[in-house]
Amino acid sequence: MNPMAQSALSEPIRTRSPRRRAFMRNLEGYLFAAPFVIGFVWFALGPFAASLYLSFTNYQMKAAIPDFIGLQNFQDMASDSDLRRSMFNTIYYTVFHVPGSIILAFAIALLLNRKVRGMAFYRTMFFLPSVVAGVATAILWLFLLDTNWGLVNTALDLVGIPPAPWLTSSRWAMPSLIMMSFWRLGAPMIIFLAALQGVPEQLYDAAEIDGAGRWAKVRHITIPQLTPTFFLLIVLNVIGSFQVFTDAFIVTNGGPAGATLVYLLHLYRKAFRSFHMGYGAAMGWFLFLIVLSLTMLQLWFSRRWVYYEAAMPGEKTAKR
Amino acid sequence: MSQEEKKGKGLTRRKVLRASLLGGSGVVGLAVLAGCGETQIVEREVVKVVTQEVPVEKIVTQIVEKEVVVEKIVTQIVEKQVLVEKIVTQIVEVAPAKAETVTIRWANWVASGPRLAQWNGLLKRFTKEFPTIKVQNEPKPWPQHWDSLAVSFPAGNAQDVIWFSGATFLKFAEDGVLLPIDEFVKARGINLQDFWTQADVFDFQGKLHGVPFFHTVSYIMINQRMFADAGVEEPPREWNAPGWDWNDWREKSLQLHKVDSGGKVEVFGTWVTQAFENMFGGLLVANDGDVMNPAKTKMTLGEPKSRAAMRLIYQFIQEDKISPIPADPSTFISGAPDPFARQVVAIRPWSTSSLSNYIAAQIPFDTVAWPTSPNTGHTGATYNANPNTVSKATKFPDQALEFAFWLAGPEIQDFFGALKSQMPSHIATADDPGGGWLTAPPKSNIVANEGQKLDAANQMIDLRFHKFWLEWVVKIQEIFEKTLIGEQDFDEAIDEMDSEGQKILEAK
Repeated sequence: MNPMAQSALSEPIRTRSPRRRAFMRNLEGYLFAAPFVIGFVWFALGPFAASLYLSFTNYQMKAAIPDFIGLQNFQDMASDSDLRRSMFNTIYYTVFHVPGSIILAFAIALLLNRKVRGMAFYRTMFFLPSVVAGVATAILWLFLLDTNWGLVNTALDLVGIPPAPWLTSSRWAMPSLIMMSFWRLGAPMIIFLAALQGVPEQLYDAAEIDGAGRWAKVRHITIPQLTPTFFLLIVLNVIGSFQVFTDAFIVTNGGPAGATLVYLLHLYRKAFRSFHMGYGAAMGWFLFLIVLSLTMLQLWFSRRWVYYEAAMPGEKTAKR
Repeated sequence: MSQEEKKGKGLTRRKVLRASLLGGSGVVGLAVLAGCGETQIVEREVVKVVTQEVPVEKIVTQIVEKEVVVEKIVTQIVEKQVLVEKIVTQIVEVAPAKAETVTIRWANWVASGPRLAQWNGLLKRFTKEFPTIKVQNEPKPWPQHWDSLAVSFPAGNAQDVIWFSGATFLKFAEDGVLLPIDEFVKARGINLQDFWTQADVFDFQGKLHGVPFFHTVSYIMINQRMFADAGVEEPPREWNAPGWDWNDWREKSLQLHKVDSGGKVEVFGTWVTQAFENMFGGLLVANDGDVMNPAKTKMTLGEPKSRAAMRLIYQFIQEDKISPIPADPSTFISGAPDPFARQVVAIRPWSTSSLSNYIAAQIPFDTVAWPTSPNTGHTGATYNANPNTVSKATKFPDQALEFAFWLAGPEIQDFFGALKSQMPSHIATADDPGGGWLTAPPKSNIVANEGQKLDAANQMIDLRFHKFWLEWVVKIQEIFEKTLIGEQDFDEAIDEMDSEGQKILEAK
């Protein structure tokens, strides 16, 4: 044995504990994940936990520690007539907005999936409204729907239809907001478009050989193949609908006579106008529970109608 | 680990001595540096020296238990630190402090439009006059202004000077985040009697918190071109003048209202809304009515005098159909020109807050007094006193108050008077705004909705001083809107306003 080797052997072997070795091995990963984790804890998890605590207090935006009042805020919600009305309005919006926007987005995606000249231009045009700021869109619609001078009523007038009080009647205000929401179909349309391009061509070829027409192919191939996409968009849209705020805040400010007072607008007024922040936090948690329940329900129900090409590990292949 | 190694890792006398000497050298070094620097730097170093003393003390505690000798060394160090402080004191005495430029922040809700340019111009004038005070303008639109304050006050990051509204003043005053300013006012010999009763408005628990700025007063604005085109005589400018009562208002509006051959409105004769301020509040006062009793315990909208005043608005919209429907969003949306600015309305009762926009848009308009009630023979008008306040957390209260009182001073009040875009708070200026325009309404006809201690008979109770005023007013306006858009019977709506308003009063 040469002297160097002997010297090396004589030195005590420094070994790290397995836990430390694993930590060192994963250190880079931890460092890369750290900005997100810190941001998540600081900006999401922290406020999330704080709002839960505040929902049991009478916090009124004072620096002092608020009083703990147990379930009082939740009890007060039960007797809040504006809350009931706002919940009704939100459900009304959801019931019409979700199916409407999904059907329209799907229909437009089908059109934009055809092979015609200038398709990139059409796709851009249909997507463009989605990138326009919500406030700008709201003001644009305001001018379109003005009862006396709006373009919509002017167009109706040209064909002999009497003007509708779009935003000045409690009967028409919510349908107007729903109509405005269809303006922003870009995101679901793009998702449908991407999904459509994933449907295997051979399925259409086989159907054609069997004599299937255009509608039959959509009905028996496209829609079943796209059920996971439908499911995703329904879940996202329901969540988004329960959080509708901008149009109701900017265009109608909850009016006329409270006809467009949606849940989040009521929450905003309670928390930031009347400074009942504890009550606002309780309303936020109530909304969270509703959305969570609806999502769980949809998840459970999806087993009956969503078709996945390959079964998930441990799951049966879903049947249609 | 061997015994030697363990010993080597422990605390030895030598190590303690070395650490102490190092610490002492550091302190002395800092002192030398401090002595070489400017006055400002020296002051900062003093703070550092004191802070660094803490770890040394910790070591002392550890050592005293083991080694008595170390105590002496530490004592020496402390003595050196005292020496440092002496040096610093000397420097401060020798070099007088330079006048520092201080930056204060001003929160307000003039975030766009012609008023923003005017106000930025004011800030430049202030900086010229007070070169050591820089004012950073931090305007936000009305809703965001309050959202921001609701968060920044608890966070301790509110602006130094804040433009306030009576609608929310009480809430923040109760929270104790606003600075009482009586001492400053006393020290400067400021006579609040020179201002339009505003001093009383922002008293909280006997202490003054608000600095007068200007008043938002309700007026009638008329489109002079439309009057000329229709051959209708313009109303008088003087308050309580004969020949200008509610019936005259209605008659002129009917004459000015224009509909095309297809039945489409070209010009609305007038434009009334469901608003309490600048609208039915003034009508109630003119008719000797009120919204609630003086004790603030019972709503009184249902009483005949009040009901008659409210009916006038209903009549314009639902019976005569000569006013836009109040729910029409184009009448209130922020940033969009309103119907008077679009010149499709001939008579607009509202407040001075819109004047700058109309001046900038070159609308051919003038302001006239509110018409009198045919039942009482006198007028009614509302005004809001929105003062500047100072945050209790400000580091520069003197500079902040200097700025706030400069805005209330004669120079700026004259500026508002000459512009005719605001009603000055300064009485002399308000009474003579440099022309026959924007004549201040007589005090006897003003709705004192912020607690003004007016000596008039027609004083309305201090509703805006009610903590839940905002909640109350939103509710009653929402119900009133229902009847004005034709979805509820007028009398039923008034009854509901009374009962719902009553609920809020009782709940609070």
